Amino acid sequence: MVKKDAHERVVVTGLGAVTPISSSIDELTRGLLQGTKGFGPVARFDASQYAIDCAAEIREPEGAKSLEGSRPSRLIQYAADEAIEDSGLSGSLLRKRTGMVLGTGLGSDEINTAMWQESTGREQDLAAVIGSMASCGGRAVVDRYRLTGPSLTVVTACAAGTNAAGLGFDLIVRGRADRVIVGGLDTLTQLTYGGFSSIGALAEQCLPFSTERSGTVLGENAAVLVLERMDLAMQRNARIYAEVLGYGLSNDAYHMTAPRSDGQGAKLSMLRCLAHANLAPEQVDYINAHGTGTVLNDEMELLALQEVFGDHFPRLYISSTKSQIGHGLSSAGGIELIASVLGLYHGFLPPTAHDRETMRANPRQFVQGQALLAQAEVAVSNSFAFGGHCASIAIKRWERD
Amino acid sequence: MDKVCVTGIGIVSSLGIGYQEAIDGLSKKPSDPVQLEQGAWGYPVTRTDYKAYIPRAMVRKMDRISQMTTAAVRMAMDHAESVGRPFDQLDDVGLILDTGMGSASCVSAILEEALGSDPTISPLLFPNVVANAASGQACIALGLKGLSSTLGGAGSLMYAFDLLQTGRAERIIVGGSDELNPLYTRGYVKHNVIDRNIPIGEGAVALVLETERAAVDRGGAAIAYVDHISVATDPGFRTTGPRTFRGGGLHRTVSEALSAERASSITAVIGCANGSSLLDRRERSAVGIGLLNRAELVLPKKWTGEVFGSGSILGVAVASMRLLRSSVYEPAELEVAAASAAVASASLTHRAEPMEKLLINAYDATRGQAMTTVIHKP
Repeated sequence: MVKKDAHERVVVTGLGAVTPISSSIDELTRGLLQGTKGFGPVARFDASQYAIDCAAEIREPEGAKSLEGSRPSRLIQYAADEAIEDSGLSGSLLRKRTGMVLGTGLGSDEINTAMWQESTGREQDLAAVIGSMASCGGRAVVDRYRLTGPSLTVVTACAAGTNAAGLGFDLIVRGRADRVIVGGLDTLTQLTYGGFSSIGALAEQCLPFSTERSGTVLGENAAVLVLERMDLAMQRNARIYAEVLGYGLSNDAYHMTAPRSDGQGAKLSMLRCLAHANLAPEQVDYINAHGTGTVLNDEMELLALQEVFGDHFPRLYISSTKSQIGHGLSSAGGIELIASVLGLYHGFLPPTAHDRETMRANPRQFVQGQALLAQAEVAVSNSFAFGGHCASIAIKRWERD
Repeated sequence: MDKVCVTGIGIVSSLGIGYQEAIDGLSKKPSDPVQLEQGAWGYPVTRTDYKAYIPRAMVRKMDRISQMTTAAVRMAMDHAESVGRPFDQLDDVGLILDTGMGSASCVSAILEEALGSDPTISPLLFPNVVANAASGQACIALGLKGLSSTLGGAGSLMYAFDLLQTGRAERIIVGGSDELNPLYTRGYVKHNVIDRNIPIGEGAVALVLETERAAVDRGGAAIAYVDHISVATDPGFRTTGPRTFRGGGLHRTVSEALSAERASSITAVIGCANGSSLLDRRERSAVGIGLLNRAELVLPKKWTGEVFGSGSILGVAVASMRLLRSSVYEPAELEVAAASAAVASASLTHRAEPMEKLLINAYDATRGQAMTTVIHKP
């Protein structure tokens, strides 16, 4: 790896998350280690009218309910509170030269419903209009902590969380901010549920990389990471979880919902990620895959991984956190990056939480069932989206040079 | 650091279809906004001939915002490729788009289905509901596989500029698009966020950005060089909030731009003023009477209305068009442009000599995000 100056390097110093299996990072860590699953019948709306009635839903923490705003806004503030407290940042150190980049999607049921009611002539709260804009979640955090650095919202659907972390990395490396709060936010809505149902993408179980996979299960998350310039983090003796090495983006320019079967978009984003991170393929130990459990995605992703990693592919560990918490859409990249960071920090590989036959007949490679206690040095997390947007990000276990 | 230049402009707007029509449009007095169905006033895009820029087989798969976006991107590529060799490798051409509301009309239609009596959602409509649908459709239609993203609001220009300057890419198309939609418009009207003085608009704008080296290698021609982009946020900003907004974000971005550039070299300011007394007053304060007194002031939204997610790219496109044909703005028209409530008192003077550097402001009111860009003539 090419040595960079410390002010050009970016580390993770804080984590916070609310997921279908956890309302804190400690709880999430335990869940990842044990392969806990968060699936059940849909509670937020009546899904009996759809062919599938299953999702991974968040139980809103009591502490979040007292926060202001819509449900997604409350959840992201709650996760940000945890991440910022975890980072040890406060006061002017936090406010000055700190930015916010959130990957997010369609908003919330409250907002969507309010908008629709307005369209049918009923009263509408303006907060619903403003809040329905994708920027509402990030703005809630910016306002809460009075952040004055760049505030950006990435809306590349299921690639948004990973893309947001990459953009936050860039803002620091380019000197536009010293710290950037990044993450992913999406909540389950009837709009997205009905839409995924209409294209036949839903299943009763999420079985990534299984020969029995038949679709995905929708989930929801609020995931927050504090990224910080390495020299500044070291100066204040911050706990450093991992180093962000680089990321890649691409578009496979093929179809709005289906990936190219040859995995070209995924391959380009991974190759660009490795190049940006100055990594050779054999330096990567673990892939937190996009792994939706759909027939097309998992086949395409494995093909792309084989092409990118070549002879090193059989030595890669690959798992999909969606097997535990479902597909969190725009939040997926954020929470899966956190899962990867926790794995590197604590010395485990997050699992693919099922015991079905796997596509390449090598269950060990897919970390099936429970987490594997093993120390990876470098991990890559993949996210691929509607619209052909692809994003991959590389992180490295932290050790002082 | 690589130099970054603008080599192509594409626009679908009430100003016109294509940069030449837009230049012509800017040379005329702004038309009066029309009354929209929802009680707002604005500048809808009424023509549909931009569809000629989209592959015929793709048109019917796209919603309107995707069509406008794809057409603008195609126009920008055509413009850039009209000089020198065409782009030889579309795998490396990226597209980064700004949008405030995304496919708003598609979301409206889907909500009717999802929350109505029959919850069945059209599988043909659903893929267009994601906010990145327009950029995805444009990438599919045009075969763009480079670094691609979509941002909610302003930011794509800065993102692409940084990626190009640091050698991560050689060629990225940046764009902005939004469409008028009854759901949003009704809400804004009802709560007095917009009124007769703040017309709203729609459309798509795209710019081809290339590193100077990449442009030179293919024999392309720079329309403008991007010198500087600064961004800042106003926490607590509320579109609907009390009128105590201090506008610190624009002050910071303009100050940063002017400290990076010689303030005396700025010969024109492309403002983001949209008729809102709150925002316009703050922009005037941020730019400063000194600069306003000696630089020309152009307010594109006098012609287009507030165009939300495409506002920041529109400003840079207007600046680039100005460099492309610096004679386009006659002083008389500038006086019209300056007739916004915010700047009317700023006693503008107009210089006859050629433009050198232009300062462009953008403000994303949904996030309180300010951005200031400086470009110069090749």
